[in-house]
Amino acid sequence: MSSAVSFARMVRVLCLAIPCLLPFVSGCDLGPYPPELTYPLRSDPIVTSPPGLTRWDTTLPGQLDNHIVHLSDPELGGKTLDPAKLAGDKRQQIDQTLNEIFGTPAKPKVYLKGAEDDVKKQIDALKLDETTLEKGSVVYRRHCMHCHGVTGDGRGPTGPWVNPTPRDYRQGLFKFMSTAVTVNNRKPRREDIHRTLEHGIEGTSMPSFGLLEEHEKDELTSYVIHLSLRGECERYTMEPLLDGSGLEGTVREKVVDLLTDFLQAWTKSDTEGIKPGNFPYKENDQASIRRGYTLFTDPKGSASCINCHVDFGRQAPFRYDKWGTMVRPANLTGNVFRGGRRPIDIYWRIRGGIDPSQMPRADFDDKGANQALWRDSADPYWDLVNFVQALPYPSMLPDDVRDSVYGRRHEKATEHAQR
Amino acid sequence: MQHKGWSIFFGVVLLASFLSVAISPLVGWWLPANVSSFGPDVDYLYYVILGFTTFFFVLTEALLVWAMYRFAGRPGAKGVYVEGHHRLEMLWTVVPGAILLYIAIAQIGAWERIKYQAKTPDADLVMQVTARQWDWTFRYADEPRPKDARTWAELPAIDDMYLPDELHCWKGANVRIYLKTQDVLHSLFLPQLRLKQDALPGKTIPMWFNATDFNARFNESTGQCELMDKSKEWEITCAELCGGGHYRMRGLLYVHETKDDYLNWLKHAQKAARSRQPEKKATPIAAKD
Repeated sequence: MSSAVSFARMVRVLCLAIPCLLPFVSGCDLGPYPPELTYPLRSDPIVTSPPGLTRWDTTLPGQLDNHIVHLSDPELGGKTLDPAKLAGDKRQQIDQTLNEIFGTPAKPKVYLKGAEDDVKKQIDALKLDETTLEKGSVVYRRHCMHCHGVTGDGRGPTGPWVNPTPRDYRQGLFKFMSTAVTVNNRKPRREDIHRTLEHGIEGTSMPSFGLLEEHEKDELTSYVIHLSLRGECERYTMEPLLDGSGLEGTVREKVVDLLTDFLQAWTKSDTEGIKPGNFPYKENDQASIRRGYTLFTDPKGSASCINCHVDFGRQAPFRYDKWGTMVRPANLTGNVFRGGRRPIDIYWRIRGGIDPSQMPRADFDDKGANQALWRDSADPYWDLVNFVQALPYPSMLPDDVRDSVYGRRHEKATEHAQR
Repeated sequence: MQHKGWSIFFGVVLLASFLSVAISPLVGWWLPANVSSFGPDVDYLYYVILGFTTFFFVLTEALLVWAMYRFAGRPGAKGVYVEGHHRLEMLWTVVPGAILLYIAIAQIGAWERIKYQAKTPDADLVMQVTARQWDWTFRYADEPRPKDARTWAELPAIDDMYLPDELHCWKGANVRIYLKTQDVLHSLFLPQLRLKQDALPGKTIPMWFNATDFNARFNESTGQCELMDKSKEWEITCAELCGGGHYRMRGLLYVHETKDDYLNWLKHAQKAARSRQPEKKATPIAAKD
């Protein structure tokens, strides 16, 4: 064989081998979404009324969609609507209208042609301008999409495999909010979403994104609001078409109406927060903790936490939340606080409730009806917070409360063994 | 020159990889500057091992390329069978054996200083780190040094502060960390401190370091901890592949100049963590083009 032939063969082999190896060198850089991609129209069932039962088992990994489909089984008694039953022309109209108003994943927007000035102001105040949203979608694609999905449906590739399931923004429902209870259709405030990004959610698969740049967290917040608005408009346009009540006007009019309402709700929520009363106690006020314990454990009281947080949450069964997924009242002795462990975070949850999980808010505001409560206590809300905060730490509880929560048999054991 | 192409190709590739390593300290691809009291010990071992491996890498690869070049494409040539060469075998067994023995003995001191529990200096600052998919949570006690650190590591107290992704300490402090994981294997890696420790599910693993330089200062007026200069951004990473988000399991190491500066920061951070009123901070700054 001549050297020319052998050299030519070597060049051929290298020409094949080098392109195969190149991908390993270049890595992958996740930039913006492809420009031609549009938001897919909703195809998973809409949960209009979750089953009211409690149960001891939860959804198996990867079984979310299967679980939702079966919610309407007679033995469970939930109600769902199937978007697959939409007439073809309506589907197309909804798709077209949503794309026109909310853009595409690469070019997201919240755009209302000929909108009134105050609607435009709301869009500005919520930072839903196109520049911010476009940047937000890039960050979202890189960090969030694999769990929360392209449309924010919580069904990204990794989504079904984690428990609890990632939040589905499309229902416009959120759990951890500091929004005043007087606001209709409560939405989280921008700083609530920002805080969740900053700290993550303890005890779930949502990690902290605290090391993102400040402006990236801000852009993500805008983009989450965008996805939520789009999803909620989609859901509530589909619902009357599916349950037979029908639309009064055109699909477009319905979407515009809904969007105007939701924008109003988001703006109002953003500006009106729960204002806690001043903390009237010293640190670890034992009398206050004891009053909190009484409020917590009184099954007929205005708080009656014990009815759901059975045995302080240690024996609480699962129930269905408004997304149709399984949720369990928190084990409050476990020292894991999903919505944050600052006293103010706990205060917000007690005072505002966690509506999507069906946790009602404690309401002692009516001082006439709760006369005895306000006579004995400087602020019963803070009593409850004090108790919940001290609950995981046996040594912080008054003796009688500790005995009742952790039992007398632990009296002589070390604190470590108690827990 | 018949059939020599491949030997030349591999010779060039090997030479290029050798040169790229050789020039890397000059172009900033080398180890980050050490800021740990025991860093020199680790670096010494690293360079000793690198020296040995470089020598044998060059020797064996040069021999290989030379043999490929020398004996390529000789039609009709007869192979020589070597059926054992006692002296040569003795040589390539005894020499690596001696080197391994040397490394085994040379590392004892460093291992003892860094990893032996009995030799760990008294802690000035104790914290407990929990890894999970995919972030780090640093738990700080109310005081820099809780009375019974080992018990505190297992038994959180009501006034502990939980901080995601930020490790704060001060220059010259003996810092003891109790490392845990909530889910799978992780590994807490502080490259500037030459410190790496796997986190194992179900175990609480103590580790320690002492930083000899500082990079951060607490700014009381902004309430922020500021890096002295951008090049001193000291990263904490996860060094054990732990799932899809492994790449983003990062943290930042803030070493304050003095204990007072650290305590100032701690007081401020604790106040925020125990807040009973909504934060005054308005919604964060908007993105700039």
